[in-house]
Amino acid sequence: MKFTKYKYLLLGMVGLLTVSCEKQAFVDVNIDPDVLTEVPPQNQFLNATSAIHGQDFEAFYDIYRRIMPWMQYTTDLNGNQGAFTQNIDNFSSRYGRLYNGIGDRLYDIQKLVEDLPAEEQPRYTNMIRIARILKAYYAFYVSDIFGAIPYSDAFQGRYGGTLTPKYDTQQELFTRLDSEIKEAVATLKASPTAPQISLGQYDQYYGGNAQSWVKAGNALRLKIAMRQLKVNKGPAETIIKEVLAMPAADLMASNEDGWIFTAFTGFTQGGNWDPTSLRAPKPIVDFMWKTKDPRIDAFFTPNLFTQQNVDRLIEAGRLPAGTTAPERRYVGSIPNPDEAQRPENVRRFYTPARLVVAGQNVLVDTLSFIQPRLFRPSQAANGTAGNGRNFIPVITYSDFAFMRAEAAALGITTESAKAWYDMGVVNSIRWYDAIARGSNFTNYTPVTQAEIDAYMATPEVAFDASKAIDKIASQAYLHFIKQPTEGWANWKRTGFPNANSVVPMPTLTNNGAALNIARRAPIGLPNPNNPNYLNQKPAYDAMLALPGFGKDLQDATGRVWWDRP
Amino acid sequence: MRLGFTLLSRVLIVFLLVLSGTVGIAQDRKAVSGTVSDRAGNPLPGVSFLVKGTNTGGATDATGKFRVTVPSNSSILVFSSIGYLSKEVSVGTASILSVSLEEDTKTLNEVVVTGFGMTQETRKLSYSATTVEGTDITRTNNANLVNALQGKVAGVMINQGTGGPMSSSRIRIRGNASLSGNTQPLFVIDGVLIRPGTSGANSWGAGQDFGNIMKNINPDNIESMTVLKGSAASALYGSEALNGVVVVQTKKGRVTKGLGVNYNVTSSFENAYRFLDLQNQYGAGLGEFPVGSDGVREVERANNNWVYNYGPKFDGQPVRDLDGRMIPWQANDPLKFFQTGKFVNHNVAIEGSNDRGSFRASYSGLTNTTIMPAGTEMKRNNFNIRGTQKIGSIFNLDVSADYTDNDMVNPIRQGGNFNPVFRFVFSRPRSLDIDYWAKNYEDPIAGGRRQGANDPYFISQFMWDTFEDRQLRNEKVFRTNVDLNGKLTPWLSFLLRGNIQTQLNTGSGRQPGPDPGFSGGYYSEFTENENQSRVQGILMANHKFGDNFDVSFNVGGESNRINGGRRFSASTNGGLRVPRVYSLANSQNTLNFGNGLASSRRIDALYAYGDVTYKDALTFNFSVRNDWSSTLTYADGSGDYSYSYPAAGLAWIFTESLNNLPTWLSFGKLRASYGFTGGDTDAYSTNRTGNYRPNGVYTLPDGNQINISGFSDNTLPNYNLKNRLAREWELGADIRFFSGRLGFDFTVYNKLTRNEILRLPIASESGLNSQLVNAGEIQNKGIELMINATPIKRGKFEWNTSLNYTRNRNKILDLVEGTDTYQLALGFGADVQSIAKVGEQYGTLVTPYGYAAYKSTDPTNPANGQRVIGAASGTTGGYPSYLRSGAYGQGSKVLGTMMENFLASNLNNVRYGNFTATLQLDGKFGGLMGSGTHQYGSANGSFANSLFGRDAETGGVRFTDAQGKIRNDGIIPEGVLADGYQVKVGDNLIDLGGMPYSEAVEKGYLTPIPAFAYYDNLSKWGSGIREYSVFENSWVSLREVSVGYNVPASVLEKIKVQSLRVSVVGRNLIYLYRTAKDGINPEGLYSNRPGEFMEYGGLPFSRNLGVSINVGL
Repeated sequence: MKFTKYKYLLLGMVGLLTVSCEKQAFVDVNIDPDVLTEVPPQNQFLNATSAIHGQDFEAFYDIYRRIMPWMQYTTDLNGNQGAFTQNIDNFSSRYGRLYNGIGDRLYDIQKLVEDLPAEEQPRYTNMIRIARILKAYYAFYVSDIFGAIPYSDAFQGRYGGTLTPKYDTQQELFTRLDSEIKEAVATLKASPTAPQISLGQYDQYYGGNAQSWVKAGNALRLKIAMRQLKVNKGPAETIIKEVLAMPAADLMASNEDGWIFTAFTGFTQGGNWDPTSLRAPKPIVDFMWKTKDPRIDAFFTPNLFTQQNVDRLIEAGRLPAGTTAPERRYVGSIPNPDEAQRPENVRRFYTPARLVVAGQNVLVDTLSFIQPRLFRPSQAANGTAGNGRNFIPVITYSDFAFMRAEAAALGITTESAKAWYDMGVVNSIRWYDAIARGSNFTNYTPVTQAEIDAYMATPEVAFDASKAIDKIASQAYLHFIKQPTEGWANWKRTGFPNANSVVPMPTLTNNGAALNIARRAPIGLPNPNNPNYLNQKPAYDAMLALPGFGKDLQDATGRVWWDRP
Repeated sequence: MRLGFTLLSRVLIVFLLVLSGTVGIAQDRKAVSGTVSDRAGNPLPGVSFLVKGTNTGGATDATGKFRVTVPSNSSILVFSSIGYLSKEVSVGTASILSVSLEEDTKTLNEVVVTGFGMTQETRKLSYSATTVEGTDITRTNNANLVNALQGKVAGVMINQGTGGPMSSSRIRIRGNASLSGNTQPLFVIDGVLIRPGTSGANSWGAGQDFGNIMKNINPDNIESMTVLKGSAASALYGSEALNGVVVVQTKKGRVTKGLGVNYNVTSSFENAYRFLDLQNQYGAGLGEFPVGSDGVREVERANNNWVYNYGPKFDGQPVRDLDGRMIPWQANDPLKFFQTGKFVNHNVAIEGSNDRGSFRASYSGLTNTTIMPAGTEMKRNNFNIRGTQKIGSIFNLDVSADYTDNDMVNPIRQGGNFNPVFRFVFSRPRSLDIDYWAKNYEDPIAGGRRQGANDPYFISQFMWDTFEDRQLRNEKVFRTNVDLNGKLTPWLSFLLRGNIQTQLNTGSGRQPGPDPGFSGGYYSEFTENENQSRVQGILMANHKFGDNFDVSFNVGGESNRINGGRRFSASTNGGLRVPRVYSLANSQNTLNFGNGLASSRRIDALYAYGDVTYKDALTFNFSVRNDWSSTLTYADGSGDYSYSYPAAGLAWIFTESLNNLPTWLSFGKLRASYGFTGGDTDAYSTNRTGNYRPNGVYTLPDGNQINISGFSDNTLPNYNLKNRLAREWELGADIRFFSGRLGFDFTVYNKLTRNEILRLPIASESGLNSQLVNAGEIQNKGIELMINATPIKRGKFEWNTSLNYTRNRNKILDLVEGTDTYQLALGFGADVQSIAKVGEQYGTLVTPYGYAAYKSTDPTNPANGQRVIGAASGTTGGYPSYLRSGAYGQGSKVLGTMMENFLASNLNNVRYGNFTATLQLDGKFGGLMGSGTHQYGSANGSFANSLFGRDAETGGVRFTDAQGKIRNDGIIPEGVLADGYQVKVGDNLIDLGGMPYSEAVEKGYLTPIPAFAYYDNLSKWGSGIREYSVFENSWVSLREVSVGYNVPASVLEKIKVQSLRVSVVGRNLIYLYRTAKDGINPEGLYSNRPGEFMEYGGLPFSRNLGVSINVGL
């Protein structure tokens, strides 16, 4: 029986090889313990909002490097250089974000709710509508510079829907968005059939307050309608009248009603948000200095000619003894490349004095910068990191007031254009004062009522019905420094500011040639290998047939559907 | 699915039944002893012998003697040894035998390790397999055995790692059979499956490459490595064999003279001998020296112009540096920054063997540094034992265990600002006093590193990170294997094998605070583990039917499991409380904590394989394997997780079958094979895709945090994934002439991989950006040629030479409908992509940052095809520069492929009496690489490539610039102006589109461009043309020269040692030919991922010289 033990041994091996050979054993091995199969729907709302406002690439390329210099909210360190308006590399990441990061997340809220038990679903009616308003806003924001985009068919791939969504023309889209927002507003106003689950802390705009979202929705309807005033006058005016005829409780009435994303300091901490190379622009600085605009220290920093630095320069023999610090330390940089390169300007503005103080290099700059904490509250000042909050506007109350003023000035409504203009300007000052304190701006002095009153009385500011649109648009232009994308749209829409407007925007030239400023996103050429080519090609061809769309898809100086001369 | 397991059970039951029917028969025994010698009468040690029909046997001792007990006078002893014809000797009545073996000139009995570690006669193989001997691997004095394979095997491409001795090398066999992120072969070490991973930096920043598992394998223990290239050769490994298999055999105890102790010590030195092609004429600045108030000339400080190298010419005279020190005005020598690297390896092995068993135990201690003076080091201790023992008359036990404890410090940073090669040329002047700053980066007063004005060259952070930052890692790998062999009947045997490998990796990182008082800093730790096991059983039958047919048939099965653990990491947050105390408890704020999951998987398999040989000339072999993989199952229990891989082949030795062949034709074999291999997919991917996952926390404005979860990915799941499948046919010939003095081994193959599992892009507007697809066709076809020759063999002198030639074409035939490209790797951020594109070669490089080419509607316009110059974005001084193809609306430009055109190598072995010498040359021809060092390093005038046009004597054009200054450094770029480039002349706007720049200068529309701006704009980050720094990387390397001397026995007797060998080895001695631009190191890739083509930092060229002494006691 000497082999018995070998049999046992082999039996043991057989056991090892065949143990748990059921398929289930393989299935169990392949399950990732960290995977979640469902999440509370409000998670997706916060995911989408932080994706909307947390785009450091958009901040770096679209805002800091493109739109702000184009709109003369800022210049390059040494003034604008060369044919800078032709440089559109990396412009606009908003299109991609709509589909992967924002629209798909917001659409998923509805789908997550559909997976809940039937009795639970009515509790999410409002959440779905609020998400829809936000989705409509971002789709509008994208189409605003892209024109036709897929929307009605989009976002469905994950749920078995189409992988090749068709394109909606901008006109179709704007109409659709208006009716979606209108339905959402109506639903939010109606009393719910079941107690609602609030977005609560997952809503960084209004904490889930349905009535606030009614106001936001109405403001958005107004905004989309204002865009179409030139191309689609009748329907646009109807919407404007309809919205402004809503009960007062459904319309924004103060800065507290503003549609603002509030975030902690670190939200804009990434290096791409760093605004240190953004120069204050000469035209705006000169206007604000002249009119004693109370916002000047909220927008810009003083230059470095403090008395201390002046004394150091005297000590170094660079300034005559007895020199005192200049009264005016808000000095702007030249937006026009040909001007900026003139030797006398290079010497005067772009050659800062260098000093070594206590072993450290100190640059005594003659020019002002953008207030660093306007866009990045964490920015260090005197070696101390900021700890204020971020305020990123979607539609502020001032914006809403300026729209009302404009509608009145155009005779669409019978309201007082002056009253709404004044409301817009004053609330802009108050809003910047509030965020200056909330974001701990550097070198900032709080605004007084006297300053506001004096400002409103200056001839450049006081309302003048004979150039109502110029006044309204110029003040809106200033107000939009924190929201340059809207400043850009405002300029396209109204033609203000321009070289001769209240707040001037001088013509830009390079080697004597006028530089054309982009009006839309450069659109990538359709690639036959794009899986959605069959939808994309005709949609793009149709846009190319629009008047003024540009010499080709890439031509950013062209105009989308709503943008008429 | 259940069928497979029932089958497995049945096979094993048969196995049992067969075993129980086996009965041993005891007989009369007798002892026989004797000597085995060669024809000249020299005793032959290590000849194995076997009593025919039994398991009894052994090997001759050092004096060729053997002793064995045989069952009866009719027993037959079989003697065999590599290089000799085996011989059968009838014992008869003799008790002392004298056996003489004939040298095997036809090498008919060459054996090679294939399949599951069994030896197979080479003559029966129907596919190409190449074996590299352990001595050829250890001789290279390289910690990573992958590097030792370079140039030694046709069909195998190696790229050495650049992060130091620990960093991983890339190995690729017959191209990339897959588009997945790792195409390296499976290694099988004593039956344990080892899967080399990918590591290194990437295009987004610096990385320190601690390497993959290959660095933990001790070359001292390796007997041989066999590379199974084709699918027929590797089909037995099924799902794991898509990229080829390397079977590694470790050493067993051998019969030795004396004590059986062998000691080997190697000391090798690595020296940096060549840096980039820098210019040594001009120092920091853009113009003349400014003069201080005391009249002393100073380095140009204003506007940070010192980053440029267009300052005054070097004159060796004193100048005041930016920090106020007086320095001589001269170029630095970056090579002086580097140190001599050392490779010191001690290996002790004790071994012995008798006719019942063998034993070998070894220890190796390796300390390996490199040229980087940042404490970069690998210290590896390896313990290895292996024992074989016959148990009873049936069983044979083979047990091995291997333990490696590997301590690593600071791999060299690649891929960014913290690599010294990059740092010393990018935005740093040639006049930078590297030596001073390397010793004076710490602030002696305030503590921390020098900052602000005390660090005017912004170099202290680099030095701080280089010399003060410590990244430590320890890897412990334990691997053990038990083989139980048994011979049940003369024709039936079995193998039961079980092995495990367990890995524990831990590490820490630390840096003292760089701020005053050493505040800041950090400390971090991590730990991770992974275990794997494999259980295998095979039943093997061998029988000779009649005189003509030899048949072998084997069935078996196995189960493989990988049990991934978690990776836990913690790091201090907000700096260290007490400076320079490295402890997690010393964190300012709450610790950062992380945990990741290493995946688990299981593959089970059943297989049958064997061969039939007719008249020792024609062999048919076959194999079929069925796999069950966990990775292709879905959580709901569905999934097509069972699939099979068959292979078959034919080998015909025509010199055995055909008569009347000329006598100079000594051996000829033709072979053909056809086989399938494949692969499954990543663990969990079937269940993870399309789901949600926790996204950490979101910080609210008031500082409170809430949990947030979201989509795990934007990929459309696929609920019908099937295995990847590659089929390959291979034809070959092995023909030898003149008694084997000249041999050719030629192979042609064609491999087609289908059903690749990929994430392919889809229209993002659908809310997704990719879908998991199961499609595609990737082709690899090529030829491999090995020529072996012994041109001289006379008396004491013998010269063997071999030539390897490899040519592979790696083409993408199909992806999935609607998609034609798949991204493999990125360079310069995402500026250059390595892609797989339908109809193109694998690794085609495309970029929208190439030179734009002028195109006019008029086909006869001479400007067509010229480089376009225009208002490029972000140019220095606003000067026009070359436009990028993408910015000019021309989209991406195809630059070529990163894959080499062909590889060739030549290996020579020379023996003269007791001297041996080796010389190896290997070369790579064709294939692009990209260099970040070249691109960004060229921007500031550090390279010699910027010498042209700096002043009148170097070809600069005289002109007056916009500020009215007369300059002599004008460059007129080659190319034409962009359409739409306008200038205003008087009141008229003139469009210069299509006009050559030179013409625009002649007509006074434009000025020449100052040299510094021309070079800066050409290659700097903001406006550079990446195509400028993507170039062909061909080279021929004098890889190895070694000379060894065996001290003769007459001397050894006097010093009482059994053997003594001294050798001198030089590795990577020099490049005889290279095309990489401007002194960029051709072996500088920063990762070993399959699509990698980028250098970013790299290292200076370095060579190794070493001495090795081997003593046998």
